[in-house]
Amino acid sequence: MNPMISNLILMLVMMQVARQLNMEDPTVIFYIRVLYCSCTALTWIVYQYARKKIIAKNDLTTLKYVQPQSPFSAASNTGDKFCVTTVRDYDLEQIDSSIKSVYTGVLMMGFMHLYMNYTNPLLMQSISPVKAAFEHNLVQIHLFNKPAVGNLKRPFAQQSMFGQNAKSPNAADKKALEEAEKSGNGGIKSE
Amino acid sequence: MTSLLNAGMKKINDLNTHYYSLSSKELSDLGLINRLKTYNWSFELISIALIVLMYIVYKLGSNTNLKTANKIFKTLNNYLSNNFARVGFNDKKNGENKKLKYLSENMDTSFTGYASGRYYIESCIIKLHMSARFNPLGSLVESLLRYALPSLFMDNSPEYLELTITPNNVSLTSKNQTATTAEPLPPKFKFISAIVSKNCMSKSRDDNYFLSLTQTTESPTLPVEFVYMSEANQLNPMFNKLGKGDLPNLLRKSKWFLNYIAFTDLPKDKPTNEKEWETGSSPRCVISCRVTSKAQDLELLTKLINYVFSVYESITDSPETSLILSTDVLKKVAHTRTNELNKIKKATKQLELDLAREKKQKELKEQKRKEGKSSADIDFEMEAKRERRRRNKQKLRG
Repeated sequence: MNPMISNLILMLVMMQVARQLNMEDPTVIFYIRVLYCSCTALTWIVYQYARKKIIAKNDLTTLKYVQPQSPFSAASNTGDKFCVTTVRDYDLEQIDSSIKSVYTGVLMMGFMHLYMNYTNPLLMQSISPVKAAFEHNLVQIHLFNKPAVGNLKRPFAQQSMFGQNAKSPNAADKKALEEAEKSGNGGIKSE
Repeated sequence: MTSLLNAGMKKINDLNTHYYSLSSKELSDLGLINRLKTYNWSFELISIALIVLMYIVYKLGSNTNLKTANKIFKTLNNYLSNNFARVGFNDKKNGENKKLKYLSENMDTSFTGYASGRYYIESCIIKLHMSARFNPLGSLVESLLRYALPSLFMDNSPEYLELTITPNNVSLTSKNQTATTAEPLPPKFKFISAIVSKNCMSKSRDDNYFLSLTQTTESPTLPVEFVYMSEANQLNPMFNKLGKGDLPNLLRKSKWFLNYIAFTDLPKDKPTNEKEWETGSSPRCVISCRVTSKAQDLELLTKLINYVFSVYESITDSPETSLILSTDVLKKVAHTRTNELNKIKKATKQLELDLAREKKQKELKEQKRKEGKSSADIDFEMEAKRERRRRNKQKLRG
């Protein structure tokens, strides 16, 4: 099943569960806190384990691709960026960004729950990070030993909000890649 | 936050409530010693302790940087003094001629060393940059920000050691001895070829314009941790053929600290006009590495420098150079430069045209404003003019 659809279903289910619970009851709040903390800890452990495996494998195969320019990028006129890295560094970059998103989530939830006293988001955000962690491409490759082909081929295509593949990092067009490689876009002085 | 600050201030003021409640007569009756005893000095003592702590941290941080710099420059200067006539700097302050191993700037975070006076090599410049260890709080905030918002930081990593070796084409053999350093170097010195660590391939390309013009290739002649980055693949064998010593072994041992060894003649920063292109273009070899003060790493670094010297010696003297830097390769290299220069010229011309158009539009607006037209009228007229032009163009195409 498409992860986006399953996320939507999960969200609807969690909303129904949240409606059945009394969020004012301290016992319920305690169990929701326990659920959120355990799920976050599990997510973190899964990512850290995958990270450990990446480091242990130390795959130094060179990986070349063109990274499409981010719409939120500060340097708006630089265009698509040519990247050359190793499989190990690429995987570490991806897994580190996922670990960072766990921290960001905890901060957000901490603010919402401890400062603004909302308990509902805590419940809503407990299961989906675990699901995302187990569906993560690198977890699939390194923990479940799936071959890095098809959807798991590096560089990974990012899923858009509506389930279609967003503009993905391009590694297929050899000629375009060669041109991007020698484009002379380095050493641009920051203003 | 404000309430926390107010509470803190109140607590500090409350330390001496009793002292301030005494009238001036009571205070004068107490005498100096008793007055000093009555006053609660806790706040002042804590402040002084903090200042002392800050000073100690500053001194410790600064001394750590100096210690590392001393270690690095001691080893490198020892090696360079066996190769160069002049190493270090002469400080003629206060009439004394003092020898300096290096120059220190920016509160002991940037260090520069220099050596010159050698056959084949014009100069060797050592640049060492270290983080501000005397300000651990600032460093902590910076590293946290770097982690959370990496896009805010476009600069290089705060710590690096970079050596720039410039050749002079002055050979030991009689033929080239008359060559002066003012003469431009022959085309055989003008190429880009580098060995880059796989740990910093993208970063090296992002930081250096010359590396972003090269193609990355893996090779069985190199340790698995390194790749070639050359503007023509035919240049890759030069590392093994022109240099003396067991380079793969040297690279294998240096993989912990070496970022890249790059032979280049193009600027580090991307030039935006012809002048920048010309001023930044000079043949040189750049050895970039992480800051290390370990004796064995520094020993390896001197071997790498020696290797670069041997490459330049071969390029200057050896007939084998023409086999690697053949006419075809040199033609290809020259073609890359012409292409890049044309791109820069085109961009400069486009920029000038844009500026001229902008200026003209500004003048036109100003003129119309003087004629008494409002800004909205001027914009409306300009839009109508553009629309007319667009239609005329469409008519012509049709």
